[in-house]
Amino acid sequence: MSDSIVTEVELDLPPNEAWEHIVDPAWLGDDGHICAVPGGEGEIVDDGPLHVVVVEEVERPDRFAFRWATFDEPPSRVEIDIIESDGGSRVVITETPLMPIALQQSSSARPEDGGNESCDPHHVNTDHKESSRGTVIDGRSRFVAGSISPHHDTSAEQRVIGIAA
Amino acid sequence: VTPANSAPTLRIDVISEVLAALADPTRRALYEQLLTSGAASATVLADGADISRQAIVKHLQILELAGLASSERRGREVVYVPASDGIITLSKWIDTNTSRWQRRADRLKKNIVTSR
Repeated sequence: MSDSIVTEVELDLPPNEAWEHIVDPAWLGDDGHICAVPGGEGEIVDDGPLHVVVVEEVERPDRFAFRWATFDEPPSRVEIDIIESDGGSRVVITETPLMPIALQQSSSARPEDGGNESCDPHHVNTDHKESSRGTVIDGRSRFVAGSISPHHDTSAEQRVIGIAA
Repeated sequence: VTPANSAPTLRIDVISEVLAALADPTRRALYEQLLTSGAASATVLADGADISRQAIVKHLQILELAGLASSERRGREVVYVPASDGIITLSKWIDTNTSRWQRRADRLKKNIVTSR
């Protein structure tokens, strides 16, 4: 599965200083907490639904990745890459929905009790094959479809391809 | 808190079905063929393909279940046409999550400014 929503944001802090803000879940939702260690759990409320979070990769200051799921949308994997750029940082966020089968294969990564402040890390299997494709437009989000080519005239199709806001 | 609670409610099973249907390269190719040709039978789609007609019928049925295609009988053959339900579901999901990430990106920038 390689359909992703890619968002890019430019920050005027170098990766090392931007890092603290990126692992602080204050920007990810209206309320919540994340234990930013591999295997750490969290909960985030954003735009209504509660996201249950399992942290997968914490590589200060380059990369932060987690899975999250709500009860009424497909679970997904969020990868945040922080790239140094002109004294600041370019942050590339890639959200990729996970297929039900992928969930079954890595059930060990599922939180058992919804996460809490105990922040008790455990090993998480991060053996994923998902990859993102395409480039991003500065400060925009866009949908990167695997291999649907944008050459059809069907309006419904164009809605998917031309999703960049 | 932004007044974005009007986001459409999306059913997990429906979206997963569409995403799973399009995750397979063969089905994507078939779906593209339906879009370009407007309508095609499994026999026509199997012509020149390196998989059997039977396998193509199975893929078409998955596309149909996901709301990406529908089948209709024309004379003696069953013809598949592209359907919009699946794509509408998918684009709603994309719209919702795209605007959520826009909002989060703005919030990240704002948090950095206010922390100074």
